[in-house]
Amino acid sequence: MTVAFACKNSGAGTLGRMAIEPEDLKAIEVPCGGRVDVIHLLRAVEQGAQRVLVLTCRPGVCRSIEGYCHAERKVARANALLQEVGSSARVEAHAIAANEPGLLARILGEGDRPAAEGDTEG
Amino acid sequence: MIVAHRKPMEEILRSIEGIDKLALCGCNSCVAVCLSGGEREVRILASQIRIARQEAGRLIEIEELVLERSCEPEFVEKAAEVVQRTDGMLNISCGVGVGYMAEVYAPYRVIPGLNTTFYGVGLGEGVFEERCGGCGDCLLDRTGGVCPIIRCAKSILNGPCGGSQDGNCEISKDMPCAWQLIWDRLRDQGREEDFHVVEPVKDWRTATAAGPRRLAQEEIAVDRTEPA
Repeated sequence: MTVAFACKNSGAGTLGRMAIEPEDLKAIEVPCGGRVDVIHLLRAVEQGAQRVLVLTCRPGVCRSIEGYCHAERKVARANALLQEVGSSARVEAHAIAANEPGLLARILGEGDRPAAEGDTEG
Repeated sequence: MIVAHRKPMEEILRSIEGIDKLALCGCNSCVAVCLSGGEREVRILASQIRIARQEAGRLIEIEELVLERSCEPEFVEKAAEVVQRTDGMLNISCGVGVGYMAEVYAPYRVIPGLNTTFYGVGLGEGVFEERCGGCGDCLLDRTGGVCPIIRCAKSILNGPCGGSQDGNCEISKDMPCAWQLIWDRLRDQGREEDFHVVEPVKDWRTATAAGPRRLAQEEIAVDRTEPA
């Protein structure tokens, strides 16, 4: 299972534009990628996620100004904590615009599937 | 505040190896401020332990609790029910909290999850530095507020030593010489002559050299450890 914490201003919009919703993806919309805390990432792993994504706005266009930076630091911390306990799960931060479903598909390993209309990356 | 930091995960996991119903207790005072043992750290550590046990194929049940203070009876007694329901407690309070809870709930097992390190100040978000040695006989009035016991690597009371170079200590170029700081402070206060006053040999009985210290504020003292 993959869990994606998606910023409502970017990642969540991208997920909405996906032509095909991946079956093993659980998406959680958040007000800002920077709001996702280490404990949220660990709890996702506890509940069976092998991969946890934090989808944030691209640097420079973040409505919370530094959401991506905060997300990156928390993701790094979560990975260190998971490594400490021998977990093979991984946590990733990705900056993505709301009109980039092709990029998201590639991130999700769904790159061979067709992207929806309006995909600037596809 | 008392500053502490988490023990290595390997040590923590080894210390709770035989326990399948665990209490994980934090403290909302000093260790919460230094981001080592507050509510957030309790949640994170509990999650880490559960993941580690999942990986090891031996599940663990964890009851998480955070006391307002782990060093006073009226707060510590709030853990009584959790203690009843669990086989042992991993405690991420300072050493005072761990020791006191082990005493109150003996023979229940209370295991430290932190290494208690120093009395310090917060220099910025997440950065703490030692400032006081708790020696029991404060001499900061004579040193312009700079503690030579803690801030001098040799704890010398009549410095500086020959290792003071360019304002820094010989053990690290990033560590200011405490006696340089003391000189600078006394000079800024117009007290240069105080720098030359020789500090007598310190009586360490006020520190830890005479066993555990005890304080009773006489006008209000009620000692709960004595029989009624």
